[in-house]
Amino acid sequence: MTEQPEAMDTIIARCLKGDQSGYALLYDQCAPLIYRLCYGLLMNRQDAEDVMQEAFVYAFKNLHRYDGSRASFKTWLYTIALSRCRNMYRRKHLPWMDLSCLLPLDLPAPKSEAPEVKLAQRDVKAAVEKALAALTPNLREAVVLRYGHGLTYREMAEVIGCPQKTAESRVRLAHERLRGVLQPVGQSLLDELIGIELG
Amino acid sequence: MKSILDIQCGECRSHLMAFLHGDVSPLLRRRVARHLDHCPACYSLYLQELDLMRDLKRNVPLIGQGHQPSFAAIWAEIQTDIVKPKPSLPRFHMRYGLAMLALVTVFLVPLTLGNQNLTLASPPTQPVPLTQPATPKGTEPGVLETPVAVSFLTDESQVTPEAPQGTAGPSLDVISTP
Repeated sequence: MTEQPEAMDTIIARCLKGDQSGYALLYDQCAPLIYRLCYGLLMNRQDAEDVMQEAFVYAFKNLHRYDGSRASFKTWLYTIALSRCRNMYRRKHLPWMDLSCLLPLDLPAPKSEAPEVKLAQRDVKAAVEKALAALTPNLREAVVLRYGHGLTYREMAEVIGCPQKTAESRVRLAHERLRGVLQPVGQSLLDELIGIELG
Repeated sequence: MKSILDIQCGECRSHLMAFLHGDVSPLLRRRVARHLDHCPACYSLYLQELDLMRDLKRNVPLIGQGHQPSFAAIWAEIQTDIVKPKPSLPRFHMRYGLAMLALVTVFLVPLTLGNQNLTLASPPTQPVPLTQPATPKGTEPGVLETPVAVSFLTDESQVTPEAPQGTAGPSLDVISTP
């Protein structure tokens, strides 16, 4: 995880001294990441917001327990958020999916992109989301942490709480599951792009 | 001749993910690359994995970015939760207290109901002393109705079991007399 340890440690020290602006700064830096993690795992907007709030409240109340020599602050925060997400799976039992993810999203894209390419990319994104939602929670965690947040296998092992080899095998297993689902979509996108280039 | 760089398909595929992520040693990287150069099947699988990895790297970070929540509103709620004072009694104390109360109620209620039916025991009375011997009517005191013959056996070795009862001869007490 790329972060400036000095800056983060300084902010945490400010928080521990009772500086309220330090908490706001920590929140500003980490909230988008934590929301993205929670949404990627839960696939539901309201649940992701609730879990993010729970995770931050817990983290801020227990900030004195954070040990910078053991893990980075973001790893610690990811661990807390992941644990809250798992609680949410258990609470719900059934897989939930936010209908808003099926609606077309206004993602920022370069103006030079052809509409067809943009449409095809949106299709791929929707397919990836759908395929992720179909994975088991363990495999989804591995994929989201690896590809969504760029964690190394060692960091993944810390966050998930498993050996590094287990994290690797989960990513491999997720690849096997996703390969069959996403291959036609990826291939069609490729064909479409080639068609546009040729046209 | 087999080179040190030659590996089989199985070994190549087991290292394919690590190869794609750049998590292999330089020697293993050369061996996998060399195998991929010569094996069309493994190369095809490698291309599929590469496509999938690119799709995931490009699209997974975008998940959740299309609809950002109101971070300011959530921050306000977080602040409220943080400054909220802790309850004076922890929740589990309350729970244990309720459980204890239920147990006490369960055990005490039957006892209380049972006590309502109890009556006071009467004080013990001393029996009346006997002033006259209890004797059956028509008999004198100290005299039995039927006489009883009592014999004493002092030495069992001299008893003859074959001797029929009621035959003539010395009585047992005569024999046993020294």
